[in-house]
Amino acid sequence: MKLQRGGGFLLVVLLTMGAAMAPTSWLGWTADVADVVRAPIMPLSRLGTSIASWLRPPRDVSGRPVGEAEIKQLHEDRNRFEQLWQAQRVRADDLAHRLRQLEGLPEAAYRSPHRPIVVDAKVTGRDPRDPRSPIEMRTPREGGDRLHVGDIVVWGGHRLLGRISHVSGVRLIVLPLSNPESGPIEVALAGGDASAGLHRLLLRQSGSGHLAADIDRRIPIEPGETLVLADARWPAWAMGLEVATVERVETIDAAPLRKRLIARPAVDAPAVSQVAILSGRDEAATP
Amino acid sequence: MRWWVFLIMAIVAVGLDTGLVGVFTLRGVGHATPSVAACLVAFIALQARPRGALWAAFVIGLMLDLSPGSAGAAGSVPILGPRTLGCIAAVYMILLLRPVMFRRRVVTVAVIAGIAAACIGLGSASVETIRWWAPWTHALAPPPAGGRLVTIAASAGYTVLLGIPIAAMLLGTNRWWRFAAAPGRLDYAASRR
Repeated sequence: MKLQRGGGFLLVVLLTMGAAMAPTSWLGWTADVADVVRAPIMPLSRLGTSIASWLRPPRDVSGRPVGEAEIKQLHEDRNRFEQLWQAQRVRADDLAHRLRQLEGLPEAAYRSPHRPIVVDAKVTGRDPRDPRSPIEMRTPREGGDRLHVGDIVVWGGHRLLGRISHVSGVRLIVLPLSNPESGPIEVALAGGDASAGLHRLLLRQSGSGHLAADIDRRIPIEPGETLVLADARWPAWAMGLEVATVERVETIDAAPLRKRLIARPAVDAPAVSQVAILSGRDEAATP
Repeated sequence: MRWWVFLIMAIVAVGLDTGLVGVFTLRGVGHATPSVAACLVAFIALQARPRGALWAAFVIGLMLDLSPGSAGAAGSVPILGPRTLGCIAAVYMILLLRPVMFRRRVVTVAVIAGIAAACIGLGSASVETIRWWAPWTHALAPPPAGGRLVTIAASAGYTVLLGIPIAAMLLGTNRWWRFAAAPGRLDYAASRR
């Protein structure tokens, strides 16, 4: 009898070991189990995250505390994005008109039918030990049904946090840019001499939560400079969002003609409590 | 052991681990963070009967593996096992050590909580590394081992510090749990009070 009970636990341990070593494609069911297990944990986790963010607000890249009136700031950011979108729309209309004159194409071909929508979301959990860990959020009541995998998550209005990797009725998962699964990202140097053209770099994720790029040593770049999104795989309206700040530039002994740039993500991902989600689709675009 | 008390405590501990403990994170030391769940694992492993302690470790580990923010190598797919196996290893080690310990001392629970935190961290790191080596898992590369070990060690040390007030609180709830008497130095320690 005693052996049988011990055998039961041993069997469970062996099954756990099997699950731990199983291919990821076999573990899709664990996301549903996680939804059930998280149901009682999420309220407490959300409360703790809010208190933690209030007691120890996230810092921006300059190290300045920015946690005061975060919600108010998000509302202001929403209004600013709305204004920026209108400004871009006017500009796009003007450019479309000029292009139509040049090529004789219909005006509609130059106007996107989609406008970015902005939805606020609250963080319900993340692993504070790992800056690369996925961030979980509660699916917002308003606008939650319009969110999709691949939508863009920003903090502070113009700082890119990452993209949504999973959407369900109760939670969203965001992969921060520092997560290796986000993949390489093409950025441009925000400052510098405009006449020399934009310097573009391909940032890769490093294990420590930083981003790195090997670049031509002739490119003038200094710590503190800002890197902005310039990746054609991302939506066109997201170009120019702040991605990272250059932390240091190192020489590469094995490649003297190149140098390594180490950048810190623009958002202190483990510390944020509330973010805005930008989605490129709206009701008009939904069939 | 009263399992409903355990479930409430486990939910609170895991909820705190995924939320409030972020206040204590040392961002300059590899994001070292103390673990409330490790304190609970240590407390139960010191007080409960061996079989109950092992099952409790399994449940806490499972909750940690499935808790918010702990999705493993697949982004949105939680990996079962890394922390579950770490918790079970921690309890097994504590069960070996506890006959020579004063189990109702705050310091004992706190120090053992540090050991439990280290076991959970090492278990998690081991599974991630093995998954990375295994060709069929398509797992992502784990963080550099050196930095990871520093984080685990710092988190374990930090858990010992946080474990002192938590152990005092947990020992204060001892009568709720209805632990059956287990062999070891428990009775001797109680008599010294």
